[in-house]
Amino acid sequence: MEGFNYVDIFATKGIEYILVISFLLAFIVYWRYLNKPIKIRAKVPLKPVSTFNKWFNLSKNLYYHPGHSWVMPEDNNIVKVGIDDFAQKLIGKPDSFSLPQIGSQVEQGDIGWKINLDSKSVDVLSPINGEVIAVNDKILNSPELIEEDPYGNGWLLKIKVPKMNSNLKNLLNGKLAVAWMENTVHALHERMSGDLGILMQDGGLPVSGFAKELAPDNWEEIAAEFLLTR
Amino acid sequence: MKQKTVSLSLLKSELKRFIIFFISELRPKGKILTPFNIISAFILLGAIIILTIRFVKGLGAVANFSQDHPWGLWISFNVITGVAFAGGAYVLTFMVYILRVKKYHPIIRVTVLNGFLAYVFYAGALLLDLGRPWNVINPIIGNSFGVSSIMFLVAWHFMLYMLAEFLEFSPAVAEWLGWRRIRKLLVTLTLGVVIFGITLSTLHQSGLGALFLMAKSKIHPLWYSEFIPLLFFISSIFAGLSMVIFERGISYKVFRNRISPEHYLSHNDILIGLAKVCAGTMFVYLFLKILIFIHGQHYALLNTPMGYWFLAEVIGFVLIPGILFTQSVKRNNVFLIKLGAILTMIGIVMNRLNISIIAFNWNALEKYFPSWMEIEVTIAVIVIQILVFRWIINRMPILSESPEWARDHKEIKEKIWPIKIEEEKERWKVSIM
Amino acid sequence: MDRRNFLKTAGLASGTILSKNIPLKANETSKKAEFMGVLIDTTRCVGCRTCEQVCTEVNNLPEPDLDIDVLKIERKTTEKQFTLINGYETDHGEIYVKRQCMHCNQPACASACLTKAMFKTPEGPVIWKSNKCMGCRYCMVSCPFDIPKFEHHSPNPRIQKCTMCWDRLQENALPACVENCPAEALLFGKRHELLEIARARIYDEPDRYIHHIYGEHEVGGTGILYLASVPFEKIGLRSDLGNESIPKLTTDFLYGVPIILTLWPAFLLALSNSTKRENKNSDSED
Repeated sequence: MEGFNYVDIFATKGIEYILVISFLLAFIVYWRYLNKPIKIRAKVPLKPVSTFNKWFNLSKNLYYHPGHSWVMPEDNNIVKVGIDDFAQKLIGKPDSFSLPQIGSQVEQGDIGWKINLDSKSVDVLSPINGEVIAVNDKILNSPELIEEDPYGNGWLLKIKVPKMNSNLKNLLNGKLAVAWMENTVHALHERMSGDLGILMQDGGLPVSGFAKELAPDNWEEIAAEFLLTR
Repeated sequence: MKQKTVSLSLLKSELKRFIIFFISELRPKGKILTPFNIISAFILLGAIIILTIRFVKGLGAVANFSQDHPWGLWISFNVITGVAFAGGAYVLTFMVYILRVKKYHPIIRVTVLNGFLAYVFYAGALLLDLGRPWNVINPIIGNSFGVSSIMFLVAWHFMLYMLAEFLEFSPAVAEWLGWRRIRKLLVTLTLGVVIFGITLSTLHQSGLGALFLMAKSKIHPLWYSEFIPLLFFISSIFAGLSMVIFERGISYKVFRNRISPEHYLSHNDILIGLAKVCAGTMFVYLFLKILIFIHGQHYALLNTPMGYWFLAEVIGFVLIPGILFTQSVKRNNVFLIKLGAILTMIGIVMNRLNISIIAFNWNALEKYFPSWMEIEVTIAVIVIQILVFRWIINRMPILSESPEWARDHKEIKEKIWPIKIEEEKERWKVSIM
Repeated sequence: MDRRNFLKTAGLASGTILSKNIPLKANETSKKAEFMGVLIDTTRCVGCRTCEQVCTEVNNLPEPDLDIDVLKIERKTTEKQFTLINGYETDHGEIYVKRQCMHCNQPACASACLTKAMFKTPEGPVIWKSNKCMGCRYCMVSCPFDIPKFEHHSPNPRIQKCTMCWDRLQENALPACVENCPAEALLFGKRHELLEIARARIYDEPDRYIHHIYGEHEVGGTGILYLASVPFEKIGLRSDLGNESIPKLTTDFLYGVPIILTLWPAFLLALSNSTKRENKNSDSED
């Protein structure tokens, strides 16, 4: 008669416990690795911007005028103004900016300055009332700066604003600005549904100067329509 | 009395309008004689001929499955693998309706639609495979209820899940037909139906694995364990999501004119989010595989041909796509995601075919290889699914926005701020606030 | 039980059963479950293959091919042949083994069948009834012995296998193979009595037999029992099937189902409630 086969049914239990503990540790490491982004995309400005969409960036804490210009309050009733990412992408790399002289007055909702490209020019509304006290020489000399950094180094004018509060009340900020940008994008999409292929690069961001893509012959009218200067 | 006649006549007129509308919608939009349509027509014609032969002369006349391999391509691929790929529906409904991750909202309808169509057509493929399809009502009506059978469980869950998917998807149908009240009613059912669907999915995804539990002596030890149901369930998560990624990549190009703006904006975001979930799940799955392998103590078997095949499946088509997904998330690279999705899908096909055909009775003398007729019918089932999908996408608000009356404007605001905007460091002083 | 009682019972049982002319009633008057079985003593089988022939006669199947040399080829049952003899060259000479459905105590095929077309009768034999079967072939996937066979070439296919002549048993006749075995290698009777007879045979001639009754415990016990003079894996009977019944492998999953059906909805509902934001009025809109 043979003996019987003894089977150790718990043979691997010890190893399994060790395995599970090492799994838990490994998982923590893996999860942290997975969630750390490896590099910042060069296209996105390094400024902390919060955006819900990747088409056009909005910088938080700026005040926006529906004509696609922005206001950044500084000390002593002085503000910086410029054009937003949408306007910048709409027109593309400009040839030059025509900015008002120091000392001149600008009015909210009136034409503030011009952008020049290919012997055509587009008006932009001023977002605020006040006196121009400084002009950005850098942008006058290198207009392409507007593409890289429309909210920072691409500022256009510094203006002294006597009635800061009431001016700011007419402007869009925070959630309202985001909603407004969403509607702009929607309107753009509705209008262009069919042409979107032309507009999109790989990765889905609109090409720079898309007004020209949409209407090569009279892009300035399209642009003026969006910038409310038509 | 007047009320009744009013509502009856309303019903009649609505029915008439529905029928006319439906028939007009059946007409194809766009060109009829595209290459895809022509090829599909041939494939479907071939399948009809083959199926006629199958019903007249028996399964053996068209299929190669045998006494040693009772389940062939139709069950193993169309049903078992197909169901794993349809797992995107329950994962996404979990994320969108339970966890309320609004990011995936743009694709929830199309994923549920795909899940519904997958189950409908794979149930159809199952009916073709049955020896006596007309008797399929027996376990449904009670002649008899073989409750000891896991197949019974799986069959019932399939039916209930199809119902759940249809109800989840029905608001889109109601929007297409303009039935406002009905749509409202259906929308209130959503949460309950979603919970039902997720529970059912858990059970039948693992149930499909549990079908093989009894074949302990017939499946190669590297693939058999008492944890097959758990592995099937977990792999269905990343199988389903990989199919969603794959299908999104194609639909994004093919159905571009139907996609809503919200969807356009978030397409890449969605893909990266899905890749992250896949990566995490695959990490867990790999660990479970290791644990089960050590538990089984079949170390020596790795050094055999079947062992190499096992390693190929796990390393080549689970570990490597897992790495691809991880890297794609970190580098924000959509191409890696698509590549990872394809590799994952191949891995799932391998895994399911292994358990049901290749590692099943692996040392039998007769090896099973599907006949060309089986392959033809398999492809036909997939083709017809694509055709129905296309018909629906081009007419109903799945990828495109709901009609104006169905959109909740409060929701749109919600969609704009999916997460609280984080506080940032102030870069400049604001003089007056 | 002590030796005196054992010998008494064994003698009595052997006496009654060995006289083939007394037909055994399939339904005993005793109330307890009593499975019938067949004891196959491979040391007595001479490989005449009469069992194969009478089986095909009784079941209206085509005649088996008697020209095949069973020692040269190991066959499997088919949809047209429910039982067969496989021959093996061993160091104990030529051994012939009758193969057919094992009529397990806990049949995998019966638990697999979702329409109860395959079921275990109270008398013991596992049979297939045609009106319910839908041809899913799950029974074939589950059987550890690969017994159920499918009629691939029929538009109305059946599952075919040995039925232990259940129809004949209803008329108080013996299974055809048992009745016609000229070498008295087959014995039909109540399973527990067959086990005792088998043990008696081993006890009486310990050198003639391996001290193991195949089917006593394999896969939870089968209705067909084997005795042999060589280890069973040498004559085609797998010894790696374990003693646990095959359906038992699925009970953990099946009993987990109601638990998941209870826990998952509760958990999901709780989760969905906790992610609801306070300023939302409705929670189930999509």
